[in-house]
Amino acid sequence: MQIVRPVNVERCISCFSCIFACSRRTGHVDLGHAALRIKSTPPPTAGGSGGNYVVIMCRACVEPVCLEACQYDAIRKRSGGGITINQNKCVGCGDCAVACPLTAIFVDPLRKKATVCIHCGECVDWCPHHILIKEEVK
Amino acid sequence: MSNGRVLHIDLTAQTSETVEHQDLFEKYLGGVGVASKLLLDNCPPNTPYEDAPIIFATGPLNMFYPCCAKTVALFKSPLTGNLGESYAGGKLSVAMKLSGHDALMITGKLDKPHYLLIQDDTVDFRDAHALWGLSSRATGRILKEKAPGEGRRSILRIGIAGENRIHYAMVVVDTVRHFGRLGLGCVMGAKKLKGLVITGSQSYKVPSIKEYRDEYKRIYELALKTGRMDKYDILGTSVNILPLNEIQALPTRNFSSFNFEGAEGISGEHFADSVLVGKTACVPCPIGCIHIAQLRVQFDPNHRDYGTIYVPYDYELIYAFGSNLGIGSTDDVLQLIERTDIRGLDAMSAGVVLGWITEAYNKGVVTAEDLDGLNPRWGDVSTYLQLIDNITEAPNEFYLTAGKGVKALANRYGGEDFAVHYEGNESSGYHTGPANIVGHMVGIRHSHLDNAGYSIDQKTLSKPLTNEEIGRLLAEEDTWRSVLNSLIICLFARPVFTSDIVISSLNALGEERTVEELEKIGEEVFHLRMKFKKQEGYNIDHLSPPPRLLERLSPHGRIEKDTIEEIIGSWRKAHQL
Repeated sequence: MQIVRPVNVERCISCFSCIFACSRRTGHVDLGHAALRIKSTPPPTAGGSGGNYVVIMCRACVEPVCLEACQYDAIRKRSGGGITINQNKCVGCGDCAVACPLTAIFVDPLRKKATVCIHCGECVDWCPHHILIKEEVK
Repeated sequence: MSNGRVLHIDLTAQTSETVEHQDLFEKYLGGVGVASKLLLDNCPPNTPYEDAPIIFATGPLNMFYPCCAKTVALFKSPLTGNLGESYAGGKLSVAMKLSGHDALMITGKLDKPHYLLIQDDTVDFRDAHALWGLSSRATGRILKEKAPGEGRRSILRIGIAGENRIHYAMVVVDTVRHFGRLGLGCVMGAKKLKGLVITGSQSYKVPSIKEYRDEYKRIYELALKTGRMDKYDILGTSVNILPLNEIQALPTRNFSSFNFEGAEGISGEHFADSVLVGKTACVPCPIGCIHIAQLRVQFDPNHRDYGTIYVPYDYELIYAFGSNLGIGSTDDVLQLIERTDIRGLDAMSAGVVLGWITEAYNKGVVTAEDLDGLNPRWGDVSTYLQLIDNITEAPNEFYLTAGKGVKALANRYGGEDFAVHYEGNESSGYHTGPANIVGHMVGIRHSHLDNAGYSIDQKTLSKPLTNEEIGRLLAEEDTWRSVLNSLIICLFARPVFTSDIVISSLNALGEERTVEELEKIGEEVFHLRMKFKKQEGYNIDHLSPPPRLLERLSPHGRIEKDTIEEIIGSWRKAHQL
């Protein structure tokens, strides 16, 4: 099985090419269908306004804690790590996102559904700085 | 793709409503086209700038394609008393689309400081009493912490310069981008609008996802894999310092010469090799054209106290605070950029004002008494930092006037012959020749970006054109850029968005247009703004070039008035003006 993960994230320029590639895969132009985010971190020293960017996405945990958090039986383990979310069962309560140590599950406020990376790899080729890689796992 | 929804925010009544204007987007594409029409319809002649509307508009391509990440702001410029037009990148155009609005129109004024929080259709008027008097940086940090929508929002804010109504105060957008020119920050300050946060969760569907994906990929690859935008991706706009210096077109010491002996020290190459610590991009755009430098500052030499500040840089800022002030060190330029940034001043206007002050002081046109005891000399960064603070705080009549620009300074103190401005807008950093001068004179916003005369001048050094041809080229560029600015495509992506790509990118969003149709709309949008300018007193018969630029040699030699008049004549004919 394949997982996607960020490497050399210091090279991120926050262009959102990966994010829009993700939502485009679902047939949408938005952020609500995208399963990853870019966040700016505080600068390394006080007083400045610049920081680094980080990519927030599912780490494909083998023992995902978000699984237990779902009260609606919407989350299943994904083979190779991570989860899938049954969109019919999900009510968008966000408990899974709270449980995730990385907050790497995103609730679309418009649809009221949780979105998570399924490690399809669509985003990988869109990163201009090759920050996202595909990796084979057992 | 536009839904035609315009969010009208009335600051006086503290109300908002969404108005459907699909007809305007069909007729004028979007962006500056729609904004021009909205401004004309909502700003009666001679409205004071604080009462005139501010219009922010996006176009049909924003959020949908790489390199389409600009938003236009139209307003009444405090600096020129005429049309204010400025563009900013960052996340603003995406945040507006996510909010479900293609344009915002802000009218009226507040009686007490507030900031706006726009989430989809909801507008909150939030008390900004405690933010008034804070720097653009502190305000940005607080809004980041207090407002929702991290990663899907845009944050605009002004510094103290805007609050104090400095006529060239700017607006910071998402920390490293700006509505820099013509004084939007002053307008917001006069309206007591300290900031604006916009976010939302709207979603869009295109007619054919396959066609859209193919088109997206085509544009993405043109931007990244053909070298067409490498200039911006690698060194950024600062790549221009050395070539302009080489042809003797780099404004130096208030445009008194155009070859700076310290150019190497402030070149794009030197910035990159010595202080560049990161690049960042607008959304969505794979080109990291925003170059961020590290500035190590010493707070206390005895204690060996140091801090680090991150400062974005670009060509125009380096010219304005570097060669134009006789400064040849990256750290000195960065300190001045940083100071204007947190104070909330337009760096280009500020640099030209500082240049004028230095020359005026050297010539005895202004005195140390006017300057509150300061003695500016070329290259003296610590005095320039104090001058920036004084302009922002306006402690006396001189600094109050300096806050109105070089035209106001020259009117009050003399020294018109070395006040380098066009209709009150301080010049950008080129003395390439006649096309540049005329381009600035006749340009809608008196900017090098209206019609790129500087580029024509550089090409005609080896392949001369007649004045008639130059005038026509400037007019054609006015028109085509009106199209790009209506869609809104970043002007850096001009080589990617050739006319056939513009047409196919619109087609993939379900909008059928022809090149002829676009050019017709571009011309119409040009004339809409010209109509507004004439309404506010602009007269093409009475334009005059900055005397300094006729007096000093350009790469094309001395520029004669006749040449300028011939080019203007041809330009007028092409626009039927």
